[in-house]
Amino acid sequence: MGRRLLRFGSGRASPGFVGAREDPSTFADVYVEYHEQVLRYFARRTFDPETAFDLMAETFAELFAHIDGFRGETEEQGRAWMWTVARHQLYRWRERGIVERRSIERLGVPIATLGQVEYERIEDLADLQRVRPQLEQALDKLGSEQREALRLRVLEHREYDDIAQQCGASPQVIRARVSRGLRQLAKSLAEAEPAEPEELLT
Amino acid sequence: MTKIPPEHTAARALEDAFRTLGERRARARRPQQRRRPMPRSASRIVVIALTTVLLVAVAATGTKVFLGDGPTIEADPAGLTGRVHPTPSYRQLALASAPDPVERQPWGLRLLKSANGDTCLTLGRVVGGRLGVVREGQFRELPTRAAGMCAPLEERHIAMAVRDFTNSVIAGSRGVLFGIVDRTVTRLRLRAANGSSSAIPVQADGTFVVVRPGWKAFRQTELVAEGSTGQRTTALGG
Repeated sequence: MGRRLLRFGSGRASPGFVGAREDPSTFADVYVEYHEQVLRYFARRTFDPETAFDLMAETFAELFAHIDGFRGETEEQGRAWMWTVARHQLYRWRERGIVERRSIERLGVPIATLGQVEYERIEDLADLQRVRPQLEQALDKLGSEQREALRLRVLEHREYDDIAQQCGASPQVIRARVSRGLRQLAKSLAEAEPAEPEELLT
Repeated sequence: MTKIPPEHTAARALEDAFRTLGERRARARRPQQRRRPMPRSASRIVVIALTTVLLVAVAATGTKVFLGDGPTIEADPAGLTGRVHPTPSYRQLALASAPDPVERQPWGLRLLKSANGDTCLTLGRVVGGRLGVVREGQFRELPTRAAGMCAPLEERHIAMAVRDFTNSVIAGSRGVLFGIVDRTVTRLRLRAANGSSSAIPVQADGTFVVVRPGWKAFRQTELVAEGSTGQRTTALGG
């Protein structure tokens, strides 16, 4: 990835943000290039795969909607613009508690349901082990069912089906409990998180 | 060409969407780039002519579409799409609605045309003929210009979306499938993983809504559209 980013910054013709402004049909290549970095940024701050995916989708929809107005001349400026949009999406989500879908809906971008593999991949991107100490503290503030689901999933790495069997509930219910618990955790960690996403470029 | 693994279906779908949108935007630009600058006098005449057409267009479509003189919303007359924005007075609901399995307010749709001529649907809850959202039992009307799902129905013949609502938004989880078909589509049905099918009622204006309780309620379900242009199957997730 590092090598590819270097190529973007070298001034050669590339399918980056500058290229997408000239030829919007290459915007999908920009999305393919950066979507996982942006997804990781949101996953580490929301801890919720669905929310992270929706925020990522809205970020790229907003970038696409305004690509004509992008005034940068280098890929570095393009990335800076992308992170600015991503940060604003995160702030709005924290303020309002819901993902703003203005650009997604205006463009008519369909948002498909996350499959199990993709859902768990985004959970991995969130790298919950990083916040294990805070998580253990936060568990005390949760209700018993949520606490148990979160403990089994995050601290013991158990599969959703196993947890469901142990708790006598469906995997969907367990997912919802884990998701709600992590959202609460995300709120309590919001101020402790680094604001700048450039760390994620490596 | 793509680097996104095939099992990342949602991310791949988003890539496809950006590819389609990007190509459409690039196509739309091309004629403008080829056009030579017009002489000043000719451009003045074109501006006057366009202004006249636009005024006539606003008057004509304002009656048919935005003032709501009938239960069915008709498409803008040919040649006028892309020039008329929905007006704040437009509040007409589409014909499709579905009861909610838990709360008393049914689900409904608002149907309108976007500025570039796409067909748009806004999903919400219906109270007293108004479309809105229900949060903690309180109804709040959606603004007339609230964004909705938009698609070029003339090209695709069907536009639809699935929204999953979780406990944080609504009392209990819910999946809502909604959309619109044009006249080429004669039959819609949902096909489950075990092969069983259930018909989806399509209203006279082409709209439909299906609400199911539960989280990811349309997982492993396919939407099958049949009609004069053949059969098209869309996986709804998972």
